[in-house]
Amino acid sequence: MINTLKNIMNIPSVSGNEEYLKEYIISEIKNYCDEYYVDNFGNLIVKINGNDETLMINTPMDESGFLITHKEENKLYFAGIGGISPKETVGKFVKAVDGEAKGIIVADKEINDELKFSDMHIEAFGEAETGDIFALENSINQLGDNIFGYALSRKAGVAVLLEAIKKSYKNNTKTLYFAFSAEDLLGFKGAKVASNVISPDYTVVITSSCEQKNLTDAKFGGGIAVRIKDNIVITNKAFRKSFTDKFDKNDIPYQLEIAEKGVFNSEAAYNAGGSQTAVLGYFVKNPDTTYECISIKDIENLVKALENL
Amino acid sequence: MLEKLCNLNGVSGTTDAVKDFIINEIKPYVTEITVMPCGNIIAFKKGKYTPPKKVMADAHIDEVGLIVKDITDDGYLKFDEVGGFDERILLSKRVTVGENCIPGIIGIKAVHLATKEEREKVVPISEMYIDIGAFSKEEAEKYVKKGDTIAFVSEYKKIGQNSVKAKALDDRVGVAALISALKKDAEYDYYAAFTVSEEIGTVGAQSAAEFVKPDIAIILEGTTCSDVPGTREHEQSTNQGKGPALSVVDRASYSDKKLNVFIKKIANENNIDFQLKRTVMGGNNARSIQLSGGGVKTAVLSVPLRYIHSPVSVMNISDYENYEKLVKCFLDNIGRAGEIYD
Repeated sequence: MINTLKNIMNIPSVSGNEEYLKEYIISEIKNYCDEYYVDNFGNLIVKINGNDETLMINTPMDESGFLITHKEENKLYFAGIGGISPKETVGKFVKAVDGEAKGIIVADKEINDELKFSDMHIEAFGEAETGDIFALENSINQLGDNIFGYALSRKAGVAVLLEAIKKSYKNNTKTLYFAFSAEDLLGFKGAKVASNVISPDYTVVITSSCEQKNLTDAKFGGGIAVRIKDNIVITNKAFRKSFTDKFDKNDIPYQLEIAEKGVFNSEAAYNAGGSQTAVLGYFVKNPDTTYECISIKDIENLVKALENL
Repeated sequence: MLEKLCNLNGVSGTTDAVKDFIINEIKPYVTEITVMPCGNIIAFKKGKYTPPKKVMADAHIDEVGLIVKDITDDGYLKFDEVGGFDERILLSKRVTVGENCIPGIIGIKAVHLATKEEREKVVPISEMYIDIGAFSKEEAEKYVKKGDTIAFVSEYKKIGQNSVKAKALDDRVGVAALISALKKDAEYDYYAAFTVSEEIGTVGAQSAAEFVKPDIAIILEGTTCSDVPGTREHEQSTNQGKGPALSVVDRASYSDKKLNVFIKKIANENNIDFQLKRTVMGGNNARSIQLSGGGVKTAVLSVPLRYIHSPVSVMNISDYENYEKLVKCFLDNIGRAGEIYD
């Protein structure tokens, strides 16, 4: 699973440019499902047949990146796509999503919270044009049970779903839809389309949790997060208990959490036919940096949890 | 055509004049017209062939403007904005209020009465008023009502050798190009959606997309262009004279990559100048269209407009001509849209 995660982290998937990651996921899961397709919006949907009850498991698959807006010799000027802060990207290596060009991000002004992408440029090596999309090169490190790198708060979820598909195939009861949603950073877009089309009975959204934005004592290292509520959704208690009872029985460590802020994927699921919606999370340290950190145990337990829904 | 369209008033919420004009223009050339309850016009254009994917072209018929919020005891109109504004452009502008087209002027208190601090800051809308020459609330109420929309007064005029200044070029350029396409024979069937309420949250397009259920949509727009003194080259968004602008991504949507490749190919095959929009600001109907139903592949093609959302937007005439050509070429080639799905 760690290798899978590392592969996923190395594949650029800037919002709207998720095709390479989709290709990788498809190559991994095509023998472990009954059907897979890319919908007209760009979401990858993987289906495993089961009984009449339908469960959608959703995770976003995109990451922040850069649009090249102007070129002066090997200096590329750019705008941000997604949400990463300009300051965070200074000194980071980048690569073109399509093509071979690489480069490093340089600030033209003092590096502080006021720094804007318009006051930065990429020192580029190789052919690049206005309109090209660049992604951050991921620097992945494993220290003990922890993995560090960029976009883990999104890509660890992709690894979890990928592994869960392999484990669930022919071991499932409900009909399962695994929805890898596109353009999530641009307004939770993919999840809206996926929810509309699939309109499942149950939805589980996989997301990252964070100690600092938690209203409970749930913390990194204490097990996966089972969300009681956030500012968007409150999970039906009976539905929640239906799976936490199984987690208890199967010794899957979890913590109940109340998060300050939720993800609109859960709202999308609610709105599409009133799906019973739950949110499961893995803890991320240093969120929104290029050195986000997760625990391998968390994502392994999350896979087990998905087998017990 | 564009001149007539720009000179019509159609602030969001009061777009009937524009709607009636469009229906009148396109009626002889389309197979079917549906006017949705919200005011969207959906026209079906029958072509020689049926394309493999259902295509919709969208242009919004509303424009930015103002709305009467209150009338003061001494007969001045307090107002709010309809759509997004740069407040700096409002002062001393001529406007027309409500259906009776009551003329007015946007004013503030005299400069010698302003404190130093007030003189140095941008005057907020809350401190402005519209003077219609009335001296009491009773007198003003004879002519205008709370909730009346207010449009700018600005004649469509040619300036220089190849430019035009007008209000509402956003998005009458899209409307005009779509009408022009509808008036010509089509190779393939398509739907033309003239939509309401883009400026107040792209809500009309949402209903249009739910109604048409397209697979592919092209959004015809006007977009920002700041190729003027004081703007660094990499912040200019678009340039006048370099052709219509194709968007990669903005605040509202990410255009489908393969659809954009397809449009670039069509432009190159037909020797039509185009440029990429080079900032990620702004947003348009693609926001709601792309999320409707099972998702829609969208692209956004715009005419670069200096001073957009002001009474005096400026466009380059060749940009518009190339835009009109590219829109028609795109629609005439949508039979090849299968390429987008490879």
